[in-house]
Amino acid sequence: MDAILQIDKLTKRYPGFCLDGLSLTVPSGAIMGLIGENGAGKTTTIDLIIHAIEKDGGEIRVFGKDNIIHEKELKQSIGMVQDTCNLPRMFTISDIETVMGRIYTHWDREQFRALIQKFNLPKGQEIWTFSKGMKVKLNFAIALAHHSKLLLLDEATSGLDPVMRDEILDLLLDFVQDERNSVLFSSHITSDLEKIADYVAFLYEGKLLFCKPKDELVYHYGIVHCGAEQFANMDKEDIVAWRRQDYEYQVLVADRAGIARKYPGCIVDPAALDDIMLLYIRGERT
Amino acid sequence: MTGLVSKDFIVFKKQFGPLYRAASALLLIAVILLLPNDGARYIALCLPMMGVAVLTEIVKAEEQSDWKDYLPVLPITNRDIVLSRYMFCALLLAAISVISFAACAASAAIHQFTLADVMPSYVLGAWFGVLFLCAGIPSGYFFKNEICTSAMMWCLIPIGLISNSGMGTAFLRTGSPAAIMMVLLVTALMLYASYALSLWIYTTKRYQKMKMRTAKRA
Repeated sequence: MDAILQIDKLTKRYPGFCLDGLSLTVPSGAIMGLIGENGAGKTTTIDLIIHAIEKDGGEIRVFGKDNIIHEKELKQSIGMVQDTCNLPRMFTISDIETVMGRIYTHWDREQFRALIQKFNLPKGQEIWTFSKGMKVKLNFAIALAHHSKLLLLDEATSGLDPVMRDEILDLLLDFVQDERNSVLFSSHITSDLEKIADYVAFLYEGKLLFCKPKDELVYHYGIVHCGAEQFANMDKEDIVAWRRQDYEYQVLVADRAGIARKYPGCIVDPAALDDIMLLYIRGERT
Repeated sequence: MTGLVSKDFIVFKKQFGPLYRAASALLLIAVILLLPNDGARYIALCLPMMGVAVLTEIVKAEEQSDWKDYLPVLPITNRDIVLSRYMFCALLLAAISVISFAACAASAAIHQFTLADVMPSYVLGAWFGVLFLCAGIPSGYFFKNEICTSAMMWCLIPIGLISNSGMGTAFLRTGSPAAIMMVLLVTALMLYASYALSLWIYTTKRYQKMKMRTAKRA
């Protein structure tokens, strides 16, 4: 499977923050979720991909080409959706159509109109009158109407209600259906990623903690609930991360079924992405 | 680049709606009719500057929507972004010069003087417009909208000096090819210096601004 986006040893330093040698590959036809707390480096990564900020080291290749040398050409095929809308406030949808039609070589007027209709966006109203959800939908319509092959979503669904979010998630699944497009989706809402992501990359304080297929995380990872004695008897190799609660130990394990067999007295629950994130951040790692 | 020029025209059209344009047309007609001797001269000298001053409204609209944060998403280079602003201003100035010429011709016909009498003022007015543009665009990239207006106002000092001394019109009245060549050369140099400065300011500030925004989020 070809890679649409390859990030290699990417580094960016700010006072008090360092994106430290991030390496990541997004295969074609895949949706990769980028998770992490605020300030983990998710937005910095996306800003570096679109060259909104300058990197301190490393390499980013989109469709096999350097993202800075081929910036203009590559951005014809990159769609970006943020949770804000920075288009001129007084623009209407027709104005956007005029401007974007002249900026993007492959602007598809029909597709844009179809998306606007699908999202129920009013054509004659100025953008400043739109709700946050409508603005995000408009961003999606623009990102999809120029036949982009890589979608970068930066907290794009965070301002949407559950119904709208579901609609957008379906749209993203359609987008990657033909196996030629990819999505890099940074989000706090891990339930969205559980629904649609193929891979999950977890950033913590500028470092990539893991990048794994989502199914591996959801089907194989588990949380063991046990007492102090059972915890003390567990093999350290079996533990990914752990934390002590008031009455129990919560232990993140990578092989749920194997652990359940090995420690029959322990309760092993499936681990949601939130649990995994929480234990990695708040717990202790072996 | 044409996309960005159209964006500026759309913003201009929206900021200066039909009522504003009708009021401006009425004012122009009143000046032509009520000022028999100096009306054409005022129009020729001031209209291009007033026209280019709308640039501050475009800068203001961009500030309000944080348009600069959206630009990195689009398939355009920093050079395209800056050049498109000059193209928009040049087109605007050209359109205003046509209106100004028509107004001067109408005034000459009504008050019975020859158009040649106003031509030096007309050329000088267009040149003042270019001067406004050369100061306004880089200051628009460097400062906020209010200071951009103030930077343009500073241009009024040399403009006032040239205008009051009569040096400019006297120089142009000679009509010699050398004088015209000199005006063209100075204008071209001014435009190039202004463009290079704008590009440098925009490129430097773009990464600084994004750096601040990302650092704040991080």
